[in-house]
Amino acid sequence: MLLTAEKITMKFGGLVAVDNVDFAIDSGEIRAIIGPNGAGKSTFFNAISGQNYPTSGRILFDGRDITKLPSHRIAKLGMTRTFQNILLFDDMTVLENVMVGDHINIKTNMLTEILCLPHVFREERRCVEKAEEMLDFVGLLPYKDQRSASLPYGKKRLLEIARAMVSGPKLLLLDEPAAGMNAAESAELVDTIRRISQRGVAVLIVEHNMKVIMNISHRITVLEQGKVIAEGEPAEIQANERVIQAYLGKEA
Amino acid sequence: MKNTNNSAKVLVPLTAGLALMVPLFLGNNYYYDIFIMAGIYTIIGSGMNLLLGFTGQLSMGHAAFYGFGAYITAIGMKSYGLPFWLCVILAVGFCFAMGMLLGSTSCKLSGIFLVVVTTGFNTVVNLIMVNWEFTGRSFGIPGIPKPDWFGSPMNKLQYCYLVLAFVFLALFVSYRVVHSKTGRAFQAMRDNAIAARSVGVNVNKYKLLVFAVSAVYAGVAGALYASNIGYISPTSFTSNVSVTIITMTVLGGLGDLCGCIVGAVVVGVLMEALREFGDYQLTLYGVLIVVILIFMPKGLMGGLRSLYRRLCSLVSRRRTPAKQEEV
Ligand SMILES: Nc1ncnc2c1ncn2[C@@H]1O[C@H](COP(=O)(O)OP(=O)(O)O)[C@@H](O)[C@H]1O
Ligand SMILES: [Mg+2]
Repeated sequence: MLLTAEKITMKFGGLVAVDNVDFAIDSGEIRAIIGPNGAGKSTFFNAISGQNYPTSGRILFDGRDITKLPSHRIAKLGMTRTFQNILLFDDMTVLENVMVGDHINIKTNMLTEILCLPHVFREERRCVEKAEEMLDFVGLLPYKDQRSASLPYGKKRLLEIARAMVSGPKLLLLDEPAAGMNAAESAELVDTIRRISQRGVAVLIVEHNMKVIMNISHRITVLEQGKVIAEGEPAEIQANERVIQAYLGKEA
Repeated sequence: MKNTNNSAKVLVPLTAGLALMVPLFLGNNYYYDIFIMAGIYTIIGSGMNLLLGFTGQLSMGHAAFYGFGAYITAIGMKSYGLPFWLCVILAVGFCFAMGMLLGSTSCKLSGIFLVVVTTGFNTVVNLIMVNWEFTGRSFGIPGIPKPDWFGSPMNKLQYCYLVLAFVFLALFVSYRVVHSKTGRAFQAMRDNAIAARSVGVNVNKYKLLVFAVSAVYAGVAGALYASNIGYISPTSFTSNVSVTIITMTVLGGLGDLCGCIVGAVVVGVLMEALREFGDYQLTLYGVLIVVILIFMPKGLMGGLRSLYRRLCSLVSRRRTPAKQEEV
């Protein structure tokens, strides 16, 4: 297993946002987490990617215990993410945003940068090339010199994906990547996620858009009020009585 | 993008050449001193710009680092007979360490709390200067020598070029930092610390680093100040001076490498020009700055840049119809 989360509980005061969740994802898998608003999906993401530490439980990633690691260390180990409420570097260009995403692979420090050692410029060129390749991958290359804040909503989400992907992670977490996208954009997103998966990256995705979810995910985990109420292949989930009651029924 | 790059290729050597020429025409000590102070402000301003402009952290304690540099140089040269360059190295080391120390508070605090802590730091340092025998108490330290230049003390003209060399070095260091991984990490954590962490930026490490580096800029500026003026006292390093440093940086343009030059020159000249207004000097100075920032929210450099862009588009608008006629 690439990621194993054991008995994860996350409390905010008296509120139990994530309740004793066991979860595992294999490398190469596309996994979806669905559930009504407030089910604890984003909170679970924050717990496994180090934004918040779980109140109790244990997280293993790629064979290492990452439960108490801060998020920048987890990113170094190969888990990156996007955010439900789009967090970009607004005053930087689109290209620079993606270049920051490759931070962990650039082997320079402030001293070598000031001294202009030759490898600094090599690393910089390589970083630009990788970032441009990644922008091309998500279809944002024509926008590379724009300020990222000036991008339309849907493209901002793609930029977040490019920034998270450029360092070559093993696991990518996407928190509602299709939110605010129109039909054409979300169809393109499905294609992009497939191509990410083809690169050997495991994808964990929280999404409300059922068309996207049923289309791409190998397995689906359903959360309700912080608890896992079902897990299985898309067809099984669509047929699950409890899920229909809790979630799908209301949407359809 | 292309446009600004091309214009930089012309403007940078032009400005540098101009700066190299200016001292030759200054003629008397009064003008030399204004030039030297503008250079010193530029150095300290570039450091503040890295901190405030590129990482978005406010330090009200930079006059303390400025003071460290000045006192280390004054005591080192006068009491221990150390050469100027060694004092600069000592100032760099000491300010780097103290900068890290002050920076460590910024990992826990931000906004108004950071302002309070850094102001407190400046006040404590200033109180030590005022009360310690070693630093000459409130009287300060007179008789600080000039650096040696082949056996004799530097004259003012030579000193102008010494300061200029440090200005170029400071701007070069800032340029290199801003245009590489470290500078991108700075800007990333300014724009969004959570997102920066999520791609592996160790935000706390970079906070310490930027505080330390900007403290070094202030320390070097202090060393240059002490040896030029020959006499230092605690009043030159109060938190009011920290406010001036910040004002200068904001006025020049945050996050703009050339901004601190403009800010430093304008503040340096303004302070001199308004001196004859006596008690009204500070008031006038404040009013002018508020007015400038109302009309140019991105600072003087931002104002200059948009003026330049407008001129460029005016020129190209004139040109385009002509081209169409050719076709
Ligand atoms: N930082 C926080 N402090 C307090 N309560 C929170 C916090 N973050 C989330 N919650 C609560 O935890 C629950 C789960 O939220 P969330 O994980 O955002 O749900 P989802 O992403 O599934 O819509 C909600 O009731 C929310 O109000
Ligand atoms: Mg959510």
